[in-house]
Amino acid sequence: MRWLDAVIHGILLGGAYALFAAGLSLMFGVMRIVNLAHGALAVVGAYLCSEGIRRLGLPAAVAIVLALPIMAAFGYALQRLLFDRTAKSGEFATPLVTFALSIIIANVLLAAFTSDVRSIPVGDIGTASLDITSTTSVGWVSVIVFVLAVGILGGVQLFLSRTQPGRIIRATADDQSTVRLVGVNNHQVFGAVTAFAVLTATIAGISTGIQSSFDPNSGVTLLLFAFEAVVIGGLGSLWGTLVGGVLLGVSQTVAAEIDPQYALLAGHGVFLVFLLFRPRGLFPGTWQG
Amino acid sequence: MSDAPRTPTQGTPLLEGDSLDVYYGPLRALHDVSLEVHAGETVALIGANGAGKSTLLQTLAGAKAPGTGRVRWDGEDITALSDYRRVALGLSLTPEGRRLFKSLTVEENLQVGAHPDRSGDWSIERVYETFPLVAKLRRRRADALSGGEQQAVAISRSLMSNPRLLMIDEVSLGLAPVIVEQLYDSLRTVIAQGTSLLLVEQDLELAMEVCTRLYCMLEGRIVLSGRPGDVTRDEVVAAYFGTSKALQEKVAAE
Repeated sequence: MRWLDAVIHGILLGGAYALFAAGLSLMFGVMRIVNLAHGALAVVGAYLCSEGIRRLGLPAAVAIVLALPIMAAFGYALQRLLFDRTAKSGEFATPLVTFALSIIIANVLLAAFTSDVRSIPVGDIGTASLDITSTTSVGWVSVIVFVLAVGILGGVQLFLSRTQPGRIIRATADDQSTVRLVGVNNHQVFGAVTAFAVLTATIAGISTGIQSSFDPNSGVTLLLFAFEAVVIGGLGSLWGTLVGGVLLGVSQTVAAEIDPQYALLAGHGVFLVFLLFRPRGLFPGTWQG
Repeated sequence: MSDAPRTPTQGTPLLEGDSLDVYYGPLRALHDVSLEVHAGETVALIGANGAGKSTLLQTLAGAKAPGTGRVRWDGEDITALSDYRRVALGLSLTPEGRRLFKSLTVEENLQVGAHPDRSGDWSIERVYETFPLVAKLRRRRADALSGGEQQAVAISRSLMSNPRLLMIDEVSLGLAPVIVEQLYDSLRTVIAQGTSLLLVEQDLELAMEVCTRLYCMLEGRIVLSGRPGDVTRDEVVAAYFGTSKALQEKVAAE
């Protein structure tokens, strides 16, 4: 039973990884931006939520709901004011700038909130668990996060393949100067994509904060898992990203069942195997569903 | 421009390029180019490779900013207006190389071409009626099309924004004669609808047959303009190759 237990926990964990990875995958797909600050931005979202609860005394649910549009607006501004400009300076400028941004963010957080480990208190639901069998139970929060992840990834995939804004995003990914000739401002599309990416990163960051803990440097680990999920799943397919996240999560929890110190190593191992034998991932695609 | 016969045209032009100078870095691609398209006209732009035809269309569409000179739409200065905003006015460019959205299907390319501010006669159904070739390809991915098919889809995509003026760069270049004939059949339907056209066409016969007025470009300048009946084929050929003595002297003098 304990293996089943580990697999179930791994699947739920994978949902969170996939949710976090979705934004990374979208930003790369549409703008060819490798956003190395994606993890740091998720941590900013978690701090924003945590501060709302601590300083302003907001109920957790309110703090979470408020943090989302604020972070999305921040993402939009980041794209229009920073990434749009660095993109003009060649393909290496943006990765460097996002790397610098992640370091700046981590240090600002460190100066503002010290290196104390935090978590986001959400009351009873944070510890409530759901019994699946007599011996297996899972946290409600991890179930909610998994359902959210599947809903968001599936929703985005449908949005991209079936709606007019979705088609415009795919057209922009194909050829950003030609969409202007059909009346679309490509920079507005970029801003919207980054806003959405940061929004999903914030959800993932907050859920990490509820289920475990975070500190100013947590972004680095989060980013690594997200990258691994994207590569395993295949760039350009959000369902692939979900499968990639789940594979990564399951390999971590199953290995942890053998010996807890193997957990991260096993995850990286699966990633390396994919990089060696199937570098394009499980479902390389172009968002066609 | 002094020795080129000016054709009298009535009223405010729909689109006007006024004394345009365009540079690529230190290279000057357009020299004091002026051009007008009036509502209902079909204007052909003729010239050899490198004459500046594509640059001129890009400048009129707003994808390239002129160094000096103005672009006017219905008499209003739009020189500073972004390319994507010009589409909302009813100005559409089918670019050189067609530039379809490769990972989208033909039908999705057409859907993306529609513009929320520009409703009108053109719809997907109308496009399929006018371009039977495109109707057959609707489910095909755009990267699985031949050159002629791509051109038909690219023109259709432009029409989806219900343009008042459609500019097409290199209508027939590199396409099979059968396809070119089909394309021009469809374009005649577009013209009959009242849409104004500005075409870059390498095929002199075709250009002179379909247009109501033409401009010839040579080395970044407009060297000849007029109605097909007013200029002879020899004059156009001379302008195309720059073989006329008077022209050579004019270019050399500047």
